Amino acid sequence: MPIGYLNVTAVCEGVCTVDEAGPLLNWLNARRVALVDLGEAAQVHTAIVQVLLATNAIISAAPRDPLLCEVLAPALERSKQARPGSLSRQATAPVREPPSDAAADAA
Amino acid sequence: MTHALLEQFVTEARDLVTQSCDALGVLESTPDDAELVHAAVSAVRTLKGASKLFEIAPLTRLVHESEDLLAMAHAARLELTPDIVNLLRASLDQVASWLRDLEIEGALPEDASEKAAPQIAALAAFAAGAQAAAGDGSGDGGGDPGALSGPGSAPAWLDHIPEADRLAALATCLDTGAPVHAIRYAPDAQAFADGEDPLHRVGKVPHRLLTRATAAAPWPTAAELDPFVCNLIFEILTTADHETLTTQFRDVAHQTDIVAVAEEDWIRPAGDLADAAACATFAADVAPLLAKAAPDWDDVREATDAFLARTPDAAREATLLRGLRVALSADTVPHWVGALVTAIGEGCPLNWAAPRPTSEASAAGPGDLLGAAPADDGDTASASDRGDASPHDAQRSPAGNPHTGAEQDAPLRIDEAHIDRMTALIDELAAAKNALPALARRAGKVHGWSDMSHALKEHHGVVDRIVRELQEAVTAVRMRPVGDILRPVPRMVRDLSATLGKEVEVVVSGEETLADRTVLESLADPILHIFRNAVVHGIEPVDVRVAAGKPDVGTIHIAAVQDGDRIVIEIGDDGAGIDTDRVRTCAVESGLIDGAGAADLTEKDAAALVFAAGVATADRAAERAGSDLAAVRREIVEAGGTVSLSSERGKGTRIRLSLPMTRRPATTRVMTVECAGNLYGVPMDLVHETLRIPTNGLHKVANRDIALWRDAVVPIVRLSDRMALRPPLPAEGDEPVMMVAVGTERIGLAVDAFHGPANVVITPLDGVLADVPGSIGTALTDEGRVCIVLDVKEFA
Repeated sequence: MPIGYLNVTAVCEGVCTVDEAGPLLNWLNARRVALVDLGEAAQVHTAIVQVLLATNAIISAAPRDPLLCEVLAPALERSKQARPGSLSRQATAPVREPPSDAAADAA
Repeated sequence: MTHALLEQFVTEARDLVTQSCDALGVLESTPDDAELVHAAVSAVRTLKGASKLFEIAPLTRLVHESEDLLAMAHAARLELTPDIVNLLRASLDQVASWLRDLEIEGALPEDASEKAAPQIAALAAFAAGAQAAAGDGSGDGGGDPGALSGPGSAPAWLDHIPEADRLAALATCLDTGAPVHAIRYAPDAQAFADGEDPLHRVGKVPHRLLTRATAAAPWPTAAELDPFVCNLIFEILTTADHETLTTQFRDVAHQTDIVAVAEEDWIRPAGDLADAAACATFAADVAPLLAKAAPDWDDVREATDAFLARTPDAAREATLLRGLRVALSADTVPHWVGALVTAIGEGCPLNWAAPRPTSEASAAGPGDLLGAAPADDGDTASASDRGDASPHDAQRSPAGNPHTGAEQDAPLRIDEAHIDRMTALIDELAAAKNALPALARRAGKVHGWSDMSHALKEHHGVVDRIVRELQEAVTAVRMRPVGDILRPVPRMVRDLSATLGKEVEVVVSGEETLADRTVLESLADPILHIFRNAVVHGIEPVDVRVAAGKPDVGTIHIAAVQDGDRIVIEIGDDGAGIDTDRVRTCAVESGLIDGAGAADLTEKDAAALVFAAGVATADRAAERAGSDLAAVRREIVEAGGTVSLSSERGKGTRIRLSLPMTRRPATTRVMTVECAGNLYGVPMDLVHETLRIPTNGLHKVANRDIALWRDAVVPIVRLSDRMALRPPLPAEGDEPVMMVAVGTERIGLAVDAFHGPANVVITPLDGVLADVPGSIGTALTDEGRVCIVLDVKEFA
């Protein structure tokens, strides 16, 4: 499974294909705080890059591929600024999802 | 997809080569006809433009040089001497031969660049000679692959690239002396759905300096984002050469803008002017420093730094000053520094880099070449350089095409792949409709609906007729006149006979006879070989002919006629005929037959021996011809045709080729058999007999089953073993065995049951199954079952 979903972190590993862009977006949309770990991603499809650029996803570990870093530069920059205390700050951001969602996550 | 594009290119390129060859042919006699020169130059130019889409540099270079020469002739700066015309024709011949390679192999031969080198050099030498004669240093051809766009003509999207990156690119340009290319790749919104991964493509671009992905349209909110609609634009700076880049992006050429950015264009004024007066003072101060014969660049740098320090970062002049700073830091300070300083003095106009006659004059130098971008070439070259013209567009958009009005009538060009697909589908349809009679029978017999059965049968008749007409219609589309392939013959014969000191006339008849394009293609080479053979060996030298009481000029005639569903081509000469004694001796020497056999041969059979590989006739040179003829026969037979030859000593030789006019029908008749629940087919022409062999009729010899069949020992092969299906069933009673031919041998293929014959369309296996031994492909039977068609050769 190239993208594994933990409580608040999506871990991308190996080759992430176009088919995974949809689930990732849904997962991101369902969360107020969402981290994406690209540290082990070898190849990431453009559609996923687009999702990462277009959403507020915080990239917790940058990819090793320099091209990917270059292309994701805006998202990485945003993540860097967001990371210190990001969890608490993001948590107080306007709530878009019903609170039950977090409970569902925990379960 | 690339393949289809290449095929389209080959088709069009072939037309273009023909057009220019035709024009050149007439130009030989009337070298002053400007219309013809124009026709030739536009055809060649279009060809050049289209060729850049592919990785065929030698071809592009050759065409490019040819175009240069023709363009000079067109501009009346060069006289088209017969030498030049010949050279051009030779180059185009080379191109034509490469097109064949491209079509067959999908690539140029490996020695292409070496082969092209002498021709390119010769063409360039003529061009240089003409240029020297005209005392004119400015090239007219232009349009090199990767030619710089003129300064000031860079696309506006360069502004999006951060200044620091632009200046870094400029520094690289200045360091390496090679242009940096800027690519803007805006994948189609549907790119993901089409299986494209734009980032992956971008990743393959070599020597990237910068890669950026930006949103094409502002990002929607996360909830509204459609992850499968591509909304990204990639901007890439790279030092890779233009050719590599066009290759990289040729599939998505219309979504890509590839620009070789002129050095000046990396410096792009932005923001508001802070202090116009200070700018003017700076320019006035620096201009004298630049005007020196050997300017002291340190002084200029100092002045620049000082002014830059006083200027706010966001000011427009600062953008230019930072650029100036980079230019001044280069090992060789570029010639356009003067223009840049002037621009700063004039208030930093946005288009400062665009060539201006007055200011350029002061900064004379190599820049002239760049500034004087050839207007003549601009339309076609830039369109294809930017990668937004398919070969198709290029074909239609040569500037000043005198035939613009006629474009409406231009024949519709269809990619051959589409026709092939249509043909394949129609064949499938033909196979599918065969299910109707079976259904009709079932409706009548099983369900007792005789009305329905009748109606179905009637309907089958209607569908059958329509399918047949469809087949005929699509066959007609693929038909081309024989004249297409005979075009190169007269010239080849003339050139060859001239070098041999012979006089030969070619008489063509029936050139309008039609045949399938693929059939014609398989005929093209054999016909050339036969003609070459006839000129070299058939037609005698003039003195011999005169002595024999024949006319000085030898004649080779070629006649094409339609004979039922076959096309027959007869090539005859009035030369010496085949020296059958020599052929006999040679055949014996080469061990083909023994002496007694040779003596027994009739004249006709002896003559036919020239088709046997390795039989040399007239002399050493003829060895080649001998192998040529063997190749001719092989090629014709491969295409499903026959070759026959008749020869009379002293009177001449006639060779008759007969080929099916259309491709072999795609449906194949197979015998279907069942084994372990699977359906298999064996091509019917290999099946001798199906029979049931009682168990006691089988014998074991050396651990193999054999059977006696028609007084011969036939090995029995169990299909279940060969396909590794399951352990063979213990044989009980009779075993169904199919006797099939494997080459000259027979084998008995033991199966579980016979299912009877069927007409099927065989689809070759691909992907992981392609290498599975023992099968040629799969087919759908009338009942809709999948049947694997066996390659029984593998079972021997």
